[in-house]
Amino acid sequence: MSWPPTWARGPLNYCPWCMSPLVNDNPRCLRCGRHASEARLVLTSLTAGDMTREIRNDLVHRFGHDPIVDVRIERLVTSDNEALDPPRWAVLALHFLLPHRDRRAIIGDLVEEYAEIYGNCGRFAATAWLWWQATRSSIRLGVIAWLVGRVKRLIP
Amino acid sequence: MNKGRNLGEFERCVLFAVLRLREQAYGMLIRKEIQKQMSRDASIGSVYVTLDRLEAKGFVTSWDGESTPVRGGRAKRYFELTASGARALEEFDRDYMVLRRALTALSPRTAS
Repeated sequence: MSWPPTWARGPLNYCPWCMSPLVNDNPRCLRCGRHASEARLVLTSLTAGDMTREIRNDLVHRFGHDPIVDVRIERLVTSDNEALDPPRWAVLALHFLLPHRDRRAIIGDLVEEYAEIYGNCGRFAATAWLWWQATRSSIRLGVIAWLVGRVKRLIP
Repeated sequence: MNKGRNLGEFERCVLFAVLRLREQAYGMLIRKEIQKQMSRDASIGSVYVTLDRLEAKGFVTSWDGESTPVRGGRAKRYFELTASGARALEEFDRDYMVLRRALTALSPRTAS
């Protein structure tokens, strides 16, 4: 078996769960009803610490038992997870610019959507999207800019 | 401008999204629902500001939900429409219908 599997990198032509072909590029499998991006999210959302015996067995069951594959699963889980990490500077900027009350929920929502866009459109699109959202959602920054504008208007 | 207990246009969009999503209403899905149903692009920040304002008016309630690894361990904040929120939405629709009927009645005269 080739590694990484095609569904982890390129367009999908079969269901990563039950291996049946996907019809008309529809990402939802007509046989098992699962969405192909779910599998991508399962792998990309795992950390090395999450690699329990059950998850490992499940992955081995899905992709075949092979010591090399086993090592590669480990590598994929650790290295790809680093790659999926949203841009730290964007998250840090959001952390300081968002109001305290909504900070965790907003960053969580953005990171969740980042993972979804990453899975569908790739890293560049996801990163660009997150920076755009960070800029737009910086309420505090907007308020500061508005206040500066008001003060400037007052100065003759 | 302070709208008091009246609903603004974007507030109505957010309330409508919360109503449609029922128990699954949290920030990201609310934003997507607004985009899908109203074809209107909204930032997540503006959605939360509006939700906070609606909560202060007593139209929605919120609670912290589960955190998932995809979200980096951050909890979701769920929202639910209250009875007064549903009433406000009904009133908004009623006012809108009254206005629409008035405009429809007015339009033949303006046309002639």
